[in-house]
Amino acid sequence: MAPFGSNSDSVERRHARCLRCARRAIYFGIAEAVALTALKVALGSVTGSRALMAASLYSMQDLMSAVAAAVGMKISERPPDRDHPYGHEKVEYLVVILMSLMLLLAIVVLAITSLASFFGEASEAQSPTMLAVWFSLICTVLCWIISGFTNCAGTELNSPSLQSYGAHQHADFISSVAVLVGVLGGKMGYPLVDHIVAIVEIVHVVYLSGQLLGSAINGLMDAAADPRLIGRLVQIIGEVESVVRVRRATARWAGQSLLAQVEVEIPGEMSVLEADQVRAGIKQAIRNLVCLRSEAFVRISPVTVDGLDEHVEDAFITGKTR
Amino acid sequence: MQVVCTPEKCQKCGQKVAGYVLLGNLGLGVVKITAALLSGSLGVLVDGLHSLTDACGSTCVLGSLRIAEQPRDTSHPYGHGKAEFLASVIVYTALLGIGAIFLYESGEVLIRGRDDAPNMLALLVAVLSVVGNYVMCRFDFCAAQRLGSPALRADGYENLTDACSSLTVAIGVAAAQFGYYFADALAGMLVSVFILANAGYQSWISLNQLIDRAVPAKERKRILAIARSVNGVLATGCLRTRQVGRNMWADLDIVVSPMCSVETASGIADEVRGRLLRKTKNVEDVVVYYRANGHRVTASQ
Repeated sequence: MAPFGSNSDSVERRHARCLRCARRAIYFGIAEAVALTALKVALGSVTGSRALMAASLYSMQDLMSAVAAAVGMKISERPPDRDHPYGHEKVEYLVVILMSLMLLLAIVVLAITSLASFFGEASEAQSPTMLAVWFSLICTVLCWIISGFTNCAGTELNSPSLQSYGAHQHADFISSVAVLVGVLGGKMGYPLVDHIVAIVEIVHVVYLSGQLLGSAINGLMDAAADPRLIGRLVQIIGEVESVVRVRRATARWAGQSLLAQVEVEIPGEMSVLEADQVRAGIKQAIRNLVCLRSEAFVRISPVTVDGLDEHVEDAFITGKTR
Repeated sequence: MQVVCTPEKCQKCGQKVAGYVLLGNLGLGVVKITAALLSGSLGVLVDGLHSLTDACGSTCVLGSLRIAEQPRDTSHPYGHGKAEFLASVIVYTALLGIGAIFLYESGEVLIRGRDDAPNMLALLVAVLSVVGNYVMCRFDFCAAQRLGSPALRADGYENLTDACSSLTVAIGVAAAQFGYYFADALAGMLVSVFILANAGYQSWISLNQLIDRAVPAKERKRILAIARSVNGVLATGCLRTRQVGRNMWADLDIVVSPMCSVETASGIADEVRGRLLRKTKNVEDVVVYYRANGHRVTASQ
């Protein structure tokens, strides 16, 4: 979830650190994917192995998702402008959708080649050499490192595209482990092990990317944030000085940032100048206590004696009363 | 052509025109593919598949309207309008892939070369398709103009490009009759390029709407002008707009006198909102915030 914390300064420093870490992990991932693709294409064309060519296709897809994640991060950091008044953060959801589609494609390719090697084409599967073992060992370690860093940063920054990329790398990690196990198992006389591991992994990855795809679609649909988060929002705003009550509150996620829309009541005789200060206080409180990257839209109304008044339809969820 | 138009009639026509166009495209697609298989024209085949994908796209978009029309609820406080854009992104991305495959196939035939011409059936069907698509496009434009619906207008442009691509195919088939055998495959390539350009353009528009792009500057200026016309509004600040389905949501900052009480300022803001909702057609809701200082007054207009 969002970076929680009481001290805004330390939260900000931590955020900057995570951002740096995420960028490095992605650039490292791009470099790794370029190297692997080149290596597999070279080896595949030298040995003429179809399996290696298929594997290079898979690495190429890795490269594309790493580039997509990098581009998504870059665009989402742009400040709001005239044509994009709510910022560019939602681009991350598009990146997630692109990645899920590519992953799906890769899985289909992988399943086909796997099935092809399962049925018959045994002559294609040369007896594994020690080189193959070392090669997949290196791949495994690299994928594990990248997935660890991106998953951590993705969770800290609450970035959908980073989380998706991390899940992606994790899937690669598991599939390299499967290859490694398969190669070693083949050496020891259990040739079926890698197929079983691969099938389990495919199911897992489809589940994971389906989940991320779902949250991306929710984000693009402007779905409301978790009700508990909105509840916390209402509680925090209620504690700001001179806020009498929170009339309505809702929030939606735009990538890493939270767009909150609230309506609060303050005493009607206060001046607009004072109301501006109340608004600034609310914005600061949300940044400090709920989400650092947040934009709060605060409508201030005078206190009404009776319940809700009619003019702002039910655009917001009714907040805490009195 | 003089047609008597009553608002009710247009409303009805607007609701039905999408269904008619869908059926028209489906029929044209089936006829064209059958004719292509009988006559061996690559151009007509590509064009026929194009009509079928159009029909699929329209079905998807019509289906998404069902979702988009659902009212706001607690988990979707801004309604479900964005479903329309999501559906069209999916449809047009698929179309991009199909266009690329067509381009490749026709290019291959063009390079390989062929030495027979498709027969006259192909020409007949291509001409029929030009006429059919043109009629559908006129319907779309008429309904779009009366109802002010951007979706219908987009549909109309799509039918117009379809008519153009069918025309290209007709010319290709006709040229093949005179011995220019490559013309048919060339027409197929051109149609693929049409498909790619159209799908790219449409999906770009929807992608922009999905990431909350603002409405065009003309509409923004109009909103700001209406807001300024309200008594007590000293200036307008930042206006944020985004398209949710057919309608827009807006957040507007207005500047009022700093010594004004919250009670008065809130009344002014309510008046601005009321006037905006009365005077504009496509504003779903606007939340008006008032402030005293001119912070970010010129940020976005």
